[in-house]
Amino acid sequence: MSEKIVISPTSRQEGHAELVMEVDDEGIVTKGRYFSITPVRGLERIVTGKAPETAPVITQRICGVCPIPHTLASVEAMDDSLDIEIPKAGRQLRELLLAAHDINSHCIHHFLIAQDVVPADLMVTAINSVSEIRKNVQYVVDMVGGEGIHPSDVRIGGMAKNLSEVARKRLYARLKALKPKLDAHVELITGLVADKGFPKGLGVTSAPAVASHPTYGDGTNFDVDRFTEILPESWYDDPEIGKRACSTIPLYDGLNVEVGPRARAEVYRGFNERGVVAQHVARAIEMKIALSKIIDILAELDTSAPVLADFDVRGTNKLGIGAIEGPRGMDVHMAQVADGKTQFYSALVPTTWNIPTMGIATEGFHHEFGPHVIRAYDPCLSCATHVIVVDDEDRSVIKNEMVRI
Amino acid sequence: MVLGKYKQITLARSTDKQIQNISQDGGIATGLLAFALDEKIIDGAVVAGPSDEMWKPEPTVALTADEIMAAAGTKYTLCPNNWMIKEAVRQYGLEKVGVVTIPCQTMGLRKMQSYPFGTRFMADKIALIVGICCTENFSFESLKTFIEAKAGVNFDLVEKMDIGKGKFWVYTQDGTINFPIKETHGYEQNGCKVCLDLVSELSDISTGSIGAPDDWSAVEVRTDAGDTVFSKAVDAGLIETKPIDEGKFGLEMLTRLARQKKEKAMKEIDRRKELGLPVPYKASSEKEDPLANI
Amino acid sequence: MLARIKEFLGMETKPKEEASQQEVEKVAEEEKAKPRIGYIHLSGCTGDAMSLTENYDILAPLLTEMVDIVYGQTLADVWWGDENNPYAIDDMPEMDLALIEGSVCLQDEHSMKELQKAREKAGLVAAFGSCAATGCFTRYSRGGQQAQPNHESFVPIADVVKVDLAIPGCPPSPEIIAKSVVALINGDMDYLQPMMDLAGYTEACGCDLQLKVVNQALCIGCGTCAMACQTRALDMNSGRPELNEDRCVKCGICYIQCPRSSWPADRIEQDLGL
Ligand SMILES: Cc1cc2nc3c(=O)[nH]c(=O)nc-3n(C[C@H](O)[C@H](O)[C@H](O)COP(=O)(O)OP(=O)(O)OC[C@H]3O[C@@H](n4cnc5c(N)ncnc54)[C@H](O)[C@@H]3O)c2cc1C
Ligand code: SF4
Ligand code: SF4
Ligand code: SF4
Ligand code: SF4
Repeated sequence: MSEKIVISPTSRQEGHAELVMEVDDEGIVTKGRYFSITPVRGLERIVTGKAPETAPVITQRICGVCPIPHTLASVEAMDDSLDIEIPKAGRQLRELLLAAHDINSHCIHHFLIAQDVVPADLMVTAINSVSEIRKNVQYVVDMVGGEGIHPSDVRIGGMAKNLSEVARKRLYARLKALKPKLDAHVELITGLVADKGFPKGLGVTSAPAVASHPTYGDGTNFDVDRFTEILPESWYDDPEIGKRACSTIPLYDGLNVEVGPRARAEVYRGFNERGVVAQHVARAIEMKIALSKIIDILAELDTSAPVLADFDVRGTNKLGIGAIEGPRGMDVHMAQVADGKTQFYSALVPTTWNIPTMGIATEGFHHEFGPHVIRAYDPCLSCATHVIVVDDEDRSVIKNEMVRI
Repeated sequence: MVLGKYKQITLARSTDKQIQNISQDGGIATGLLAFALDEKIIDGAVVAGPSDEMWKPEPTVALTADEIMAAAGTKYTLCPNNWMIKEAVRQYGLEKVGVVTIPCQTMGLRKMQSYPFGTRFMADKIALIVGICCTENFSFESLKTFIEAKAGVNFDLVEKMDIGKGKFWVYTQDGTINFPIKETHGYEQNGCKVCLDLVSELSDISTGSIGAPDDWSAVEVRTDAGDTVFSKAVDAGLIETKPIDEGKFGLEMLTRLARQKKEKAMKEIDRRKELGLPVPYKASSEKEDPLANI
Repeated sequence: MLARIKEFLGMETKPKEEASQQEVEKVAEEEKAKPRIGYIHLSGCTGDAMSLTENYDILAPLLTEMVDIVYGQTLADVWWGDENNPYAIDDMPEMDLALIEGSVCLQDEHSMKELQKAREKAGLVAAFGSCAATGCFTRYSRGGQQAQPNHESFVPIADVVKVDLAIPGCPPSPEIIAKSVVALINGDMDYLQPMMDLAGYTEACGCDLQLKVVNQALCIGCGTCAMACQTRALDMNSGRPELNEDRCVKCGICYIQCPRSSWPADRIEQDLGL
């Protein structure tokens, strides 16, 4: 066991989730319900009533797998609420940080699907490839964000500090040298996914794709009026599940949606494939896009330019929206600041958007494919997912196990 | 053991005239760091650089020899150099950091290297610790008292200050003023009273004026890293050495003062322990050779 | 392998020529006894596990050759069920070490039982990361949120079970995690002593610097605390740490790294090769 590097769960609800599938005689899923059962630490409650500066520090700790999107969404929401225009170089550093994180996080995803798609003889190659790439992109995150896992230097109004010229040149050289390795990695993964021969149509749903920006995120493309949030009790038709589920259900135009690399590719790059394979392909392609973005920004960045704007922290109670396209999808934070305190805070994290959709995406195929579907969307919860298969007729438990990683 | 473990102890000074002019003693700190930078042994250094206020140092990342030189000379007040090391390895992107530290700062860094609980990817980036000797340190307000009230000079006119031969010296363009070091007693920061280390026992290489004639430094080469830089700099002719005098004004004095510092601190440690106050050193008087304590 | 990893971590000074043969034999022997490790994820963010994986150069051998991961929802296919869950599964195995990430929610029965069970089954229980060790930012949790308004009390695991050692940090650095695991494999309890001492440090805050260092006439303005703070909640002001409470997550790292909070002199000298 465990040649794999193992990363567990994520997101507002962190941790554990359950996938309950009802199946027919052939084992085909007729109804899939996916939900989180992890204790709720209440980060939105924690930051309310405190100084705006606290919000990014706390909300980045929603998740140690995707802390960067949370930090960025948080400061963008605050920037918006406080009407701050951040300096150009500050914005470039933020984009740089997200692009580097995107590659890191997609790499982690590849670790987690390795056992599904990588044959034994290629395992070492795949894992080394992932490690090599992560080491380089995390180097960017360390320098730009201040800390590699919970970035300390992303601030309301911009960034705490600019890079030094030494650091810029060093990163530029290192990341440029990474390009052939990353290309080879992408080829390896997409090739292996194709070889795996997932059934056509697996994981396809009709959920609309939602994204706010091709690469970074744009709060103005998130329309609050089209958004509703309902409680699990009213979403899941099984009262037992409704009670135990720990995440609320966010809807856009009254529908459950899909967010993530594939959704971004569909909205902004005319990518029309859907389902499990399409998820993997879109994710891999996105790594290349992110790397060229990193190289471009590092080439252009003016290391002597200011990165932090002056601002008035008191606020006018304007609803600020920060939307960041995280590795696993659009991450929306909303904040209102008045009298120098956060009056309202809400975070709609990628996994939460996908949770209702992921369950449905397992329907129509044999239940053995269920975990593959979950992992194609989101490795975070999936790696802590308890899969339960229930007979359609008498509701007896057919299968009961933790999802392998 | 009173001086910590070392491979070699010697007198040394920088042969560079410019460094000789601006440095406190033998210009070892400045000379070695500038050399290490040149040789790419380090790619930057954290030093006590100038701030907006005269004689109030500020931890600074120096990327050039000029910036290292701008920090030469002792400022007898607090300068939290360790703080700046984070920025040096993050935004500055340095991979081989050199740093000048007084003994207690050296301790903070060494503890971090052995137990890097929260300091991700930093421990291995510290390439060279040049430790300087330290008997005590003063808050800026205390220093101001010495200069403005005791010596009666304006801070802006001070060119150098020094502690030696039992006196606190203040050099200005117009001359030199001194007062007995006794008069600084009571002004040293309280944390120094339990400090057991005079000579930066845990640095790669330490340097100080005690035991050396004017404009020379007494240097202890301690680790392999320290040895490498030092011998290279000597071979390159940038640092000259001569044997330290074993006698009364040389090694003997250095040893005596180091011992005095330890004995005094141990007394204070015991006193505090008796009062039930916390002291971080578990060993102190319980150790077989109490003078081996740092 | 162990030797290579130790060398990589700088945990050992070059062994003397004569001793090396002995060393090799010892290592070979030790390698046979792989410690059984469990990873248990309570209310944490997984940042600690992520940090563990950032030991890029030694991770694969560390996980595959040096330890056996016997339990963990994420590390193995086993999960201990609870009566609340209608679909309870396998029992929790015996472990030499349980790494527990995250604080424990007193209102979440499953977490509470899993933690207690882990204590029963594990030889050593380690609070892995500051949430488990000190509560970290979950110290600020106060309930009242959807979808579980009752989840209110998140405490360090030592409040509920006996903890043998703590590896704090938000997250702990990749290096300290690797060093601790290697020390455990090696039975190097000497190295682990500070971690054992820290098991009792459950009430941490940036203000500890003021209370336990500055107020106690111990601070010397070295700046190590400000260097170590992972959220940049600390500045240095007139040679003393200045805390920005708005950024402090109560991880305890500043105080732990302060040379005036504890001083493992012998170990440091040994590591330096002095
Ligand atoms: C507070 C203090 C007390 C000292 N007490 C003694 C003593 O009792 N006996 C003794 O022999 N030597 C003492 N020294 C050291 C001595 O004054 C010289 O700094 C040392 O001999 C180095 O000389 P140099 O010519 O090699 O250094 P230079 O080439 O002049 O360089 C000096 C270096 O010291 C650093 N520095 C200056 N001020 C500080 C500061 N406040 N904190 C940290 N780093 C600083 C600068 O960054 C610079 O790089 C003390 C130094 C300090 C800072
Ligand atoms: S006497 Fe010791 S504690 Fe005080 S400043 Fe000098 S080295 Fe630091
Ligand atoms: S200590 Fe920090 S990294 Fe670890 S679980 Fe808590 S918030 Fe996450
Ligand atoms: S680390 Fe400790 S001694 Fe150093 S400045 Fe901070 S509180 Fe003071
Ligand atoms: S000041 Fe920083 S290091 Fe100290 S407890 Fe707070 S967050 Fe942690």
